[in-house]
Amino acid sequence: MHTLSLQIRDIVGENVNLCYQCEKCTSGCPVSLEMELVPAQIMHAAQLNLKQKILSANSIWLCASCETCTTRCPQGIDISKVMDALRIIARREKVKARIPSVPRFYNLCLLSLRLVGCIYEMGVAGFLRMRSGTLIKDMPLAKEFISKGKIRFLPKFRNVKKINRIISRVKKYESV
Amino acid sequence: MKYPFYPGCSMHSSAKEYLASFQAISRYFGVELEEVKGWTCCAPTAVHGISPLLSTAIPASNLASIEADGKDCVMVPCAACYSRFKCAAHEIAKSKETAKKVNDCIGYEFKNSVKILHPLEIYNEIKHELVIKELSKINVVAYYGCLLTRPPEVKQFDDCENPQSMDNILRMIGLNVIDWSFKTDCCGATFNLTNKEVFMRLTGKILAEAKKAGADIIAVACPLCQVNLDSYQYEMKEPNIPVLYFSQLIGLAYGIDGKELGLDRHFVKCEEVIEECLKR
Repeated sequence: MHTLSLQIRDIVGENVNLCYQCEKCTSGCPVSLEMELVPAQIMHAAQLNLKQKILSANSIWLCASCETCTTRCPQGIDISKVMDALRIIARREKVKARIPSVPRFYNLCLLSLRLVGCIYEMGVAGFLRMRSGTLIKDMPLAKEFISKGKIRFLPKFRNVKKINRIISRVKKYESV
Repeated sequence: MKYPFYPGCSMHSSAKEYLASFQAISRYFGVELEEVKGWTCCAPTAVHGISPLLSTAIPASNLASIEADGKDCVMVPCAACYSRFKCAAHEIAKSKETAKKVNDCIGYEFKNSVKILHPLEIYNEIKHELVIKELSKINVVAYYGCLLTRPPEVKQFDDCENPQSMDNILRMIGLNVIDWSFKTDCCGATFNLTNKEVFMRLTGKILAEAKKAGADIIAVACPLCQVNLDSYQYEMKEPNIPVLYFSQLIGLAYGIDGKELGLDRHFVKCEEVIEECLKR
């Protein structure tokens, strides 16, 4: 069984052991305020192989991939990619997400890519709002989006075959 | 000048006014835009949290078809698509193994020879001397968001902490550009769908800071930032600040009709704000 740091290196090629806890990532992170483990703590926990601690915190699902941490890390660690790797590990190992709407959003986007060839915004947004129980509250906004032509009511199919061909070939190398 | 041009999904839906204004100013400057044939989705946000290879292969397949068409560059106005394209090109250049896998997945020997351009780079080079409309009474802040500049070694676009390209353009076309500290702060991306509270805090902060800096308008270059900053203001107590694409402001300065620029398509009404500023 691989340690967490090796797993991360396998998936995104980043070495978390380079981190020396300067906390620049955390100071710049726009969502560290809401995180149970801030980015520097995630890096430390990854070094210590504390997988459960990381995957059971809300942090990886709060990361917006804004890449401020990546930009500022003096060790050149792409922390945003480390977060990606952790989300991928959580997905592969079927860990229950602390903020389930995020992996749900990911799955819907992938499903949409497969069926429509692009992100069917109306379907993805509608389904997520339905699950979060805010569909009715957001109806007026949705109506305005539709009336302004800012969102399509029906999906626009775009090169579905080509996308699916790529997905099926990617599966040779990675689980999708 | 003729540029191959990749619109991406949003420019045909939520950001139609970005497309319209971009096409209008391109016509004005004699830049010909040629939509890339058979383009697919760029595989945004969610995909790199599922499969890094897939999030590289899909944009690479688009770049590959541009390359196969004999073109050496592509214009990508959507910051999210621009980011995916640049990241894919970077990953492929960085690792032979990734390049080999990607080639296998897309069924093409990709040489990575396509230069990826953002319109800000083009319009920064034009000398804006023939501006028609006097806009100096409008105070504006330029908001770049995350994806245009970060990470810097991938994007190679402007300064990542204090970018200037949009500021320069806006200044050249005569607007009063205000310096502020939130140019590259995160707008919350897709969190409007998944973490609404966090999302409202992030957009609220940016809007409040723009107001505090004295801005009448926020200028953006990303469809996602535009939607996020514009469409949820009605839920907030204070902010009532229009969020316009930089291309719309360029169009305005050159006297292009507001309707053609899609100024009426925003949630926060901007035409009245502009009128009021000009009366000052």
